[in-house]
Amino acid sequence: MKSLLLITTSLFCLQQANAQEKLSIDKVYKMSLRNAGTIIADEQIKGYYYFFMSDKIDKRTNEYTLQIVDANLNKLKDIKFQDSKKIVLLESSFNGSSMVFMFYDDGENLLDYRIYNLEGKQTYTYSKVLDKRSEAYFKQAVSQRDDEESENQNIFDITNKGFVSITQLRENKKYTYDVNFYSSDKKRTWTYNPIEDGKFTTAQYLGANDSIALIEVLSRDKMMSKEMESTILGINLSNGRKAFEIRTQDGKNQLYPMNISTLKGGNSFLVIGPYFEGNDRVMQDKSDGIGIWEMNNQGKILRSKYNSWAKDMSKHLKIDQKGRVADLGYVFFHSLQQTEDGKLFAIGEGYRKTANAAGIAMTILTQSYSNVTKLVVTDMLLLELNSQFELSNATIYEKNNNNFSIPGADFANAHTLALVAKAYGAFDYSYTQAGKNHASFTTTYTDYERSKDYKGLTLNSISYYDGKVTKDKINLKSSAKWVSFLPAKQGSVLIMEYFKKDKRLDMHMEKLN
Amino acid sequence: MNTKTLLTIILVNISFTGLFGQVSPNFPSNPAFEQKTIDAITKQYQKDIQNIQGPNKKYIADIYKERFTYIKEKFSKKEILSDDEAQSYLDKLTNEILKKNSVFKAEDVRILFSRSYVPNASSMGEGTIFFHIGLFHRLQNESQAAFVLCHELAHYYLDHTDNGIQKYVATVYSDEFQKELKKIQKTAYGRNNQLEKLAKNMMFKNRRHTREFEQSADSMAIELLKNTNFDVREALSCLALLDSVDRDKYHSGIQLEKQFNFSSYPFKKSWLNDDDLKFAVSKDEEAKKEEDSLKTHPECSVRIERLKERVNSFYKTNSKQFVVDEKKFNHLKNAFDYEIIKYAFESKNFSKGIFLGLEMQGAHPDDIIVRTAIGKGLNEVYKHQKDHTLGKIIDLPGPEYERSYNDFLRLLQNLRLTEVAALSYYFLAQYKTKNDLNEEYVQALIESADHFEKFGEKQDWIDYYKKNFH
Repeated sequence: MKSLLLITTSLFCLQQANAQEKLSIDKVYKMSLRNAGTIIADEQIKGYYYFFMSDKIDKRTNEYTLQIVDANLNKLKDIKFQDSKKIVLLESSFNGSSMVFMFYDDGENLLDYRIYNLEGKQTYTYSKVLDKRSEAYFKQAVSQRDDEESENQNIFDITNKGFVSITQLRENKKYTYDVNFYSSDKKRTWTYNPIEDGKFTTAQYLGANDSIALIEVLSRDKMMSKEMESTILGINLSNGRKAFEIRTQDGKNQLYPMNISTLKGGNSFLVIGPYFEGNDRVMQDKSDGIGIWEMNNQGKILRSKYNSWAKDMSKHLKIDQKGRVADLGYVFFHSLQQTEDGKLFAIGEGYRKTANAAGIAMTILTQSYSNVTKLVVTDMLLLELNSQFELSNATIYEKNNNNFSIPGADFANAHTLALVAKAYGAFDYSYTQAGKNHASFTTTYTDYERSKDYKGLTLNSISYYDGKVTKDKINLKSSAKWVSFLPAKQGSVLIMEYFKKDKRLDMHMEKLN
Repeated sequence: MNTKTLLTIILVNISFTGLFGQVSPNFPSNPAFEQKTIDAITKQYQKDIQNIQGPNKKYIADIYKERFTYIKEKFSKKEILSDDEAQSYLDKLTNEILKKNSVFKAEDVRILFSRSYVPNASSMGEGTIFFHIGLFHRLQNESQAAFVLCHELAHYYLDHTDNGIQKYVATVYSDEFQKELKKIQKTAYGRNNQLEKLAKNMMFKNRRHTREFEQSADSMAIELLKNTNFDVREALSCLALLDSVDRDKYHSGIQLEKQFNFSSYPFKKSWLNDDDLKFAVSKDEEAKKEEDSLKTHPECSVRIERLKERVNSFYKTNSKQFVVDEKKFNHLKNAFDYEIIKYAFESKNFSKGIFLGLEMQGAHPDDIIVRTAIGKGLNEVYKHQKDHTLGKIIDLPGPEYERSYNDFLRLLQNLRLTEVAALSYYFLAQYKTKNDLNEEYVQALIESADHFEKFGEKQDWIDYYKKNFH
């Protein structure tokens, strides 16, 4: 037995020697991509970043490389630094003269905002500590976010001045937020802390003009309360003080802001969203139409226009008694674009609540509860309004329906479900990119086609340029093992194709027509 | 024949194989010559493989195989210009050098024209030398061409390529290097930094050797050239020319705002919008030093300085700038202006092809071949943009390109589909009243009218085509 073992061992060693391959630098070198994202300025994609873990320094410290490429995929800069192995890069933004990268250090419960100039040198760092409660809440908010590469959720650029960040916080039993400003031209920061009483409050950044940052605040007394108060908060960018805070009420109409557009060269801005008459409950009832306000920096409504489903929209679209566009259902507005020629475009997507046949069957068969309703995502809608905010055109872009269900769907109304669906990326809408000076824009959305000519995913676009609206489509299926796309500079999309046999990833920028 | 059938024939016939038709300088390929050359290359490759010795035989063989595949691909991609006339001339140029320098055997070397627009020449190390027409068409005389050939022959004679391969393999697969790699592999921390240091050191050494090779190739090239009847002083003028070779031959000819400005369709400044994210390109001393160390060639001015004295001492008063055939040299030099555009299109680099055409048009505004090529190129841009495959046939703006090329690439990025159709149509239409309309031009105009939805005019041109060319 001993001799057999010896032979076996010798054979094993011999095999090992023969199998021993020579090493090369690229085989030993290991770098891992932590994440990648877009660099956004003024709602336009200006470039991309890749965040690598490029080396281990010690037990607690890694070396990271932040690689910045421009919108044409040319590498601009590699920024190397050492930091805790527990950091995560969340978002990036560019304000025309500086770039910010928002990190979260899980070990220190710290949000770190690092600002770099155009030479790739770090100029300022701002930190914010989150307490345990806020940390948990923050992490939950981050994990649920719509991971669209083209829309920031937490950090936003203020041209050549700095960046605004909104952080969702938890203070004892209150769910609240704060707004922070981080200057990029000097070391300066301010924080706005709202004063709320026993409320569940969330805040969403709407936009900014030269002097005011605009936040939409939704407040409820309790998390599950159906009564919701909607306000627009204006914060003075120079000192972080409240410029105004107004309920989105205009006479008998309540507006539920979904989007804003700042008017260039002026101090006013536009707010758009569904409106509700009288005491209608925002989260409960159907909306009465689409409202638009022009407001100034003092929060005064300068002019308003309400385009009702029943009267105004019905001239262009078929509307039923429940305020739903026939076949489209309710409308969730993803984006509002004011173009250089004074027109206003609202890009929406239809949805409706419907019976979930599988859920019903499961409920009956198993005698235990399953979701019996689901959200059906329908077609795209483009509203065109003139400079008087009057509806001049409405176009439906048909696509195949998508179903979406989450636990608890039966207990949520269609509007709440739509908000959740948006957060989970269930809509087919991808992104909207505006061109320089907002002379044009392109909206993209996906669709899965099943025709005899083509079966597969498509990327569709609606573009406005030179006074005309055009539609385009790219079939994403190819001979590659997989195909994906990323938002790119306005009018383009970055298509990635992976060819498994050749171990090759092809990336090419294609223009949308 | 009905209009629809005729239109189909016209549109199907529009290809870049037939881009320049019979009117332009034409270089038909010689399949028999190409096959004979491939056979010779294959024979050499097999011989080289058999002759490898030493412990790293396998790794050297792998590199030789890569080289062999690389060379063969140039034939399959139709990059080799095997036209009898051009090849015959190149052979005569080469023979002038070989007959006066007995160190070479003519059968060991294969000197070929490459249709690439890149101004370069390269010695593969196994006897094949590529002389890019993108360099040839920039030269001023045969003596400069002879210096380029001598330089590449010197690389071959001094065995620089194979020495480089041997050195690389001996370094990377040496026990010492492998031990170092294993040691780094076992390191828990700072591994990549150590590897980067190791790789950088290796690259610096490699590049230093490459620069030394270039220096010795220059030196030997002078020795070879001085034995011929070519003017050895042209080696210095050739190096001076290489200093500016990154700018295209007709680089001053391009004026986008003028060339794409039409009374019915004025140029839009927004087409040149540059919104790109930019980082300041400031390098510290350390970075500059590193960049210098990574160069493969010494600066041209340094090369000239090193050779000046010997060149002047070797100059013979009875030497000439042209020895073989001045007329043929100039004919090829001019004909290659078109060939590089043609090959750019054939190799699916339409942005480069159109750009080269626009540059040339600036210098030769009445050249119908060039303006037809530009129009056809724009038609292709339209078709690919419509089909969402434009990204596969044009370059994206990048820091490695000249400013004027980047401007043109930016223009292509900013143009909407209807604008591409319009530019192509108006660009071609400005010449429609001229007397020198040829078949390709009319085909291009028909296609552009179709894209721009000028259906009435399209029909008129189809009728014209039927009457004059069909």
